[in-house]
Amino acid sequence: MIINWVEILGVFFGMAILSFSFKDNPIYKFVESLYLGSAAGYVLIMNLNRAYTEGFLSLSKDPLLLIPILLGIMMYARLFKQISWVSRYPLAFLTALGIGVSTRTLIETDVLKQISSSALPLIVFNQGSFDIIKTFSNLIIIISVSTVVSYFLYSREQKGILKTSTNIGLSFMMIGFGTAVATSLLSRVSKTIGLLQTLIIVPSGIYMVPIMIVILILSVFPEKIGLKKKSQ
Amino acid sequence: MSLIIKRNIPMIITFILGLFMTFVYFFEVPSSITNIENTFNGWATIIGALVAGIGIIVLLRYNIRRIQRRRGDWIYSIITVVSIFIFPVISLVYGMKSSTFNLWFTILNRNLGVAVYGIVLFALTGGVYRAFRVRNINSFLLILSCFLVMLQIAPIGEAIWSGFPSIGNWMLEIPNTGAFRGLMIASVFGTLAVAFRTLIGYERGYLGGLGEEEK
Amino acid sequence: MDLIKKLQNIPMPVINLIMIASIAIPLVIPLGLPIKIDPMTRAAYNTIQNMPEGSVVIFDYGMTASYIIEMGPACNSMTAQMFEKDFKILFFSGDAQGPVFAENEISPIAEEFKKTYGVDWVILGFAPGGEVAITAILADIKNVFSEDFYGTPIDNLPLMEVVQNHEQIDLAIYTGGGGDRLPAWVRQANTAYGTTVIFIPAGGMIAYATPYYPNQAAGIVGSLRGSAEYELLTRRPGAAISGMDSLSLSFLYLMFLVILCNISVIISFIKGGKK
Repeated sequence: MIINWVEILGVFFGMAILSFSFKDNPIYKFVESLYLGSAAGYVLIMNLNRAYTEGFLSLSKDPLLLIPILLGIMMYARLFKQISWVSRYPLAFLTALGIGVSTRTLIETDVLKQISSSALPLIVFNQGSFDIIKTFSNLIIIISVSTVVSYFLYSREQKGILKTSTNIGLSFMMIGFGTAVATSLLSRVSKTIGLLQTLIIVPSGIYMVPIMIVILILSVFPEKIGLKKKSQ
Repeated sequence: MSLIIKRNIPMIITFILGLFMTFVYFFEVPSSITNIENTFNGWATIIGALVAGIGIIVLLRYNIRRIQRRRGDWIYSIITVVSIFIFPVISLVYGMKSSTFNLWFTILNRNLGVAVYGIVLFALTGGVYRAFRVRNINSFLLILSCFLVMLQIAPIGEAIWSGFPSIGNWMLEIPNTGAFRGLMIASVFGTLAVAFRTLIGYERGYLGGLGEEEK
Repeated sequence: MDLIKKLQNIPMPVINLIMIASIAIPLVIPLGLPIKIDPMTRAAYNTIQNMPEGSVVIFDYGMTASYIIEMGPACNSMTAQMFEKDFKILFFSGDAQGPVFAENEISPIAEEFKKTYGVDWVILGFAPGGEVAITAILADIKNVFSEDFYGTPIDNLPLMEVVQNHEQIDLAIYTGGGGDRLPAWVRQANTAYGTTVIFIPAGGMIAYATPYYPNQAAGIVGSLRGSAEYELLTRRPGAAISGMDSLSLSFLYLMFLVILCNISVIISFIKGGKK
């Protein structure tokens, strides 16, 4: 019988992580620490490889690449309090690039085009007849955009008609946050569905029961096995 | 003199470079100037790759101190420290494009990663059970819109009533869009204000903490 | 009162166990509920269908272990659709895990459609730097990548002789959960160069992406539900469709938890014990 260690490990990791939903235990902590370290190590090696291939190896073709390499090394000065000011140079470079690149198209993308998308006809006719749903929808968009923007007007005291507008805006924001909560629940549930799919669906599902028993014993009764000292 | 080198020159660099990056987009400039802009952007990816090591050093420092002082669950810090070196060692011995690297990627990054992220739902379930209480009209609207969109997302919504997908779609495309559009428009002005203040040197947080004599 | 107290204090292991059951049971005993296609998903599909054969696509494959379950099926289905139309696809990622996931997920699809690496598709690699990296790539790909993910010099790849920058790119696709990256693609690709953009965002980003639809983003294929719809549209049923019944039951359970929590509050308030 060919033993698929990748599948067995996958099931073991899944069950170890799931055991946390019942009780914090040494097996879960072990697996969590393993992931934390290995993910960090993976990110490190990928980044260093990129810096090596695009930076150091390409120096002969483009000597100016010495500048970003030096700037990158200068960032490590942040770790030493006495010379942490050296890291301000690469930070200034990166901050300036980030600000320049993102803000130059910001107004067109997130203001002008959004306003033009919201400037909708107040009365809509569809093939000659009054389209109540489209009219109502357009009205909702116009009202919601304007009232939500009014919520963030801090240069004037919010009273009178402005107060009414901000209250309506707040209600629309709550509706928006409600949809955001629903879609983020979708995201979370999807991840758990994926986890259980790997555990339940054959062939890896075969390993589930024996691994589950082992983990239950190790996690629920760590004191009896000696994994954890008995609390006094 | 030291203040000029430690504080003023970085701020001047931010100002000049930030203005350069903005104006080169709005004005018709020779291709040599555009090439300078592209070069700077390419350099940023190299700097971004080099600075990944800082996070790892901080993580190592924290865990090694925990091991030295035998503080808390220090045993797991040993596992964290050892596992940081798994992928660097594999890549040095077998190479990054090898099947061994890919195998360990599948085991540790994919399978283990899918497992770790799979339990995030349970924290949310507890929060939903305890915190989603209707206290006023706004919290009611939040929960109502959440329910309607959930019934649009889940196929069972249509099985219960055929109108749920249409209503949920409408919630997503109309009031939600309106609300987030308003948020987007409002946040742009805040972003631009902070960006402008950073360029002219009023915001100095990006410099990473100024000493008393530098303020 | 005892019942209300019990309802308000169900132990978390019990709550979690029922959640696991609500997801696990439909995986074993499918309900087979029909899935309706969302207009935003259909718009994404139609955008690709209406593009001419041989179009060039840049795919920001921001896949991580966190997102492979949610958006992996949609990416695979979309890639299959594009390969069927002989699109040329350039994959890269702003996330370190992206290129390896691309290698593992896309290679079998490329083999299925008999696509040649270097001619029909390329994995450029990993490019950190956020929006600045996107700007750099769209301006000049060779400025950011001197070699591809496998170490082959860019100049040796036939596809890269044709594709230099945004002028040769017809479509940009972004998948991932990065809060800043999604609007960055709108700013740097659509606003700056007029490039068509399609998103395959994580669940948490769908609400933030909808304001861009349809004038700035041609389509949005959101999370696992969008993945299931895309699998249906491309007739490639897979893990996403099989997860929909679990999604239904787990969502019903979550709604029940909220109602349970609020009924007990209402009852306890009526009985004069506001807690």
